[in-house]
Amino acid sequence: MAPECPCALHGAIRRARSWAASLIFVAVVFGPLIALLAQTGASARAGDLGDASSLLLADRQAVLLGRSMGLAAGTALAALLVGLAVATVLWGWRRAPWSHLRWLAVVLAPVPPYIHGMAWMHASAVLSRLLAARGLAPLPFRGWGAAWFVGTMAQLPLAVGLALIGLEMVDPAQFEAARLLAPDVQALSDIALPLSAPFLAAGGALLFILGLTDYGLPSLFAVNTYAMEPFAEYSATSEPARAFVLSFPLLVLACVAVFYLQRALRDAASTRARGQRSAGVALSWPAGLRAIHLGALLTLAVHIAVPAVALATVIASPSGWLETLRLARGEIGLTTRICLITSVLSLPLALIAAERMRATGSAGRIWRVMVGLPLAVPASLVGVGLISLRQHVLPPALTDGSSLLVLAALARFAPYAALVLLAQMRRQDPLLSDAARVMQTSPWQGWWRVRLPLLAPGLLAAGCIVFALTAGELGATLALAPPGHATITMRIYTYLHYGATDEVAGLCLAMVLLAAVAGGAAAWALARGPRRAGVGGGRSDD
Amino acid sequence: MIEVRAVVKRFGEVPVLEGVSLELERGASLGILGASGSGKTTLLRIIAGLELPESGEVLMDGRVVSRRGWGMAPHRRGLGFVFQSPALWPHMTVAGNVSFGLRSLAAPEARARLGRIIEDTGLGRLEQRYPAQLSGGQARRVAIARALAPQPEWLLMDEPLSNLDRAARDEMLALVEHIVAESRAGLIYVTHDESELERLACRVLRLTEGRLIGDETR
Repeated sequence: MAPECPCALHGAIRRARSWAASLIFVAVVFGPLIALLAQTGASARAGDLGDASSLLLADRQAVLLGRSMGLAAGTALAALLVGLAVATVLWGWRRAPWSHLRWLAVVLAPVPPYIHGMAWMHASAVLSRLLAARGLAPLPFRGWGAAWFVGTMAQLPLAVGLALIGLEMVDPAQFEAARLLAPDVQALSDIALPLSAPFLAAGGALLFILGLTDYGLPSLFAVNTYAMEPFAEYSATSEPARAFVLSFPLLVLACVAVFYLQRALRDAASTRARGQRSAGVALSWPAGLRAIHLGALLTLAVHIAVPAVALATVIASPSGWLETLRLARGEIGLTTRICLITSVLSLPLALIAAERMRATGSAGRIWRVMVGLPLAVPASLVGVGLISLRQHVLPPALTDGSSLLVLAALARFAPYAALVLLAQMRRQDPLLSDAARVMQTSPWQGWWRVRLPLLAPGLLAAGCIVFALTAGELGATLALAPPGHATITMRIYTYLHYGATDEVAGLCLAMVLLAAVAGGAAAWALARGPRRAGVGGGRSDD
Repeated sequence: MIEVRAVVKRFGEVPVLEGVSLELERGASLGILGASGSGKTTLLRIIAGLELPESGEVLMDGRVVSRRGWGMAPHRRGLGFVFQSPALWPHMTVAGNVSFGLRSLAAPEARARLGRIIEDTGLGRLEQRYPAQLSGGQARRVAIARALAPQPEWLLMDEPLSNLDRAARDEMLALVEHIVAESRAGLIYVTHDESELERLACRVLRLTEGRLIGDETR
């Protein structure tokens, strides 16, 4: 028998390494779900599920699910429409410094929805007092209407970001060709919007999922949504399998939304870097559209101003705010530690997933679904799944203190980091990596000297986004945090239902500032990326 | 008439055009020749309104259409533009692409115009196809038809034959020559291949590092 060729051996080692990396991603991100699935199967075989399946078919559940879908759809649609209007304005900003500043519109995207809820509740209370002083009825700021309004406001920065990315994906030459033949509004409606429609639809699906799986914000306005049900069931019975069964409708809906998301990711992954549309003659819109733009920009301004102003006015003084932060230093320290560890650990996981999402064919499709699916899993289910893992699988070293909180944040937010890295990879000229592959003296040299520097802005942005999202994580944390390991969000949530006290407002303001700094750093890194990479900002030939 | 007066353009700190001036009578055919990076594409885009000059002006029929910080909307300039890539809209058929600039016309007139231009450019059997179903040469023909459909006074072409093989280039050159003569539109044709201009341009400008270094009439 002929000796095995060294190339074959290298290939086998490479494949084994690749499989191992994939397995690590799957274990970390899907571990909680797999554990729940296994436990549900075992419970079903043992006949322990009882009436859980009948719970699913109960009238109350159906009505609740229908209402939750309506709320999530209404929120996503409103946020996307306003976000699109804002994005069309920002899309036209081509000259420095405006072209750089437009991404600042999305810096508040990582602020948790319940903090928006908190701020808007306070703002409505102030407004009601003013109305009462004039003998008018107070604002009825509760229920589904209030939850829809604040949910829309909370999703607005993400909607603006998604719409802007969708418009930026349109080939500049195709839009310019339309501008030469027709007014700008027609070029927008007939060319730019249809071409970006698949991505916008996927963005709407993502917003829908996020709205459907959030129960923190609706509960502030006394609205019970379906996302609360699995957590409530687990709290009442301590049976993970029952919580998982109750999550089925959410997971099925989310899978449909993820299907659309996957198609948009495929397009994003296969689109090569394009030159940016140059400044040229400013876009000119008819009066009606200008009025809509103005309204949308004002809405965005209100969205930014209300959390900052409302929370700042509750805080008695800067020294009082500092005292609040001093009293919460234990929670702040723990939160910072968890966020830092999660940010760092999420990057290799994200790299694994982003690389595989770029693949063509069924492998790439499977990975895009795998990265999209965790976005749709309710946070509380991740928490319950990790509890199940803790009981049966995890070594003690991983179940102590804050380790479970890190695992929960990794399972929830590593996919976001992967999406950011995918976006960064898409913006690079693939020839840069190909050239390194041909000329490198070793794979390590090519990776260290070429690929890593090209990816650095995306890694920084991904790390910042994971940091901010982890800081605001609540759903899984509530289920997992052991006694003596409270995070900032837990402290906020504990005091939240007492209203906008000094302490809650102070901590919320700190969260807003943290999210703004992390979001701003991510926006800066991404805006800077293509220029550093030598592509994307380039022109045709001269 | 198109007048370009002392146009300067920089991208960041890099000068691309340094005080370029030219005049072009209505119906003339001009070739702009230069190596990559000489500024020829930028000059064409400034005339079209897709870029604005840092200083200097562009006039059409005596009226300023571009100056520093302001420009007339591109679609009001009466220009057709063919890009280096066909830049066809993938969600529209060939007929949809070509008739995009005809929406201000009454339907019967637009249909008649579309029929004529489709016939002139040899796209008769391809009307209902989508861009993804076209060959490279067919896509270029659609791009030319789309630019000419509104009957522009000027047709601007930015290296429209790049990435075509020799046979396709010869065929396209003959087509451009024929339809420009038929339409009586003025032509500004940018290329780095002098042989393309032999059949198309009566006047040739040479551009190097953003400066005009030659202006010959043939």
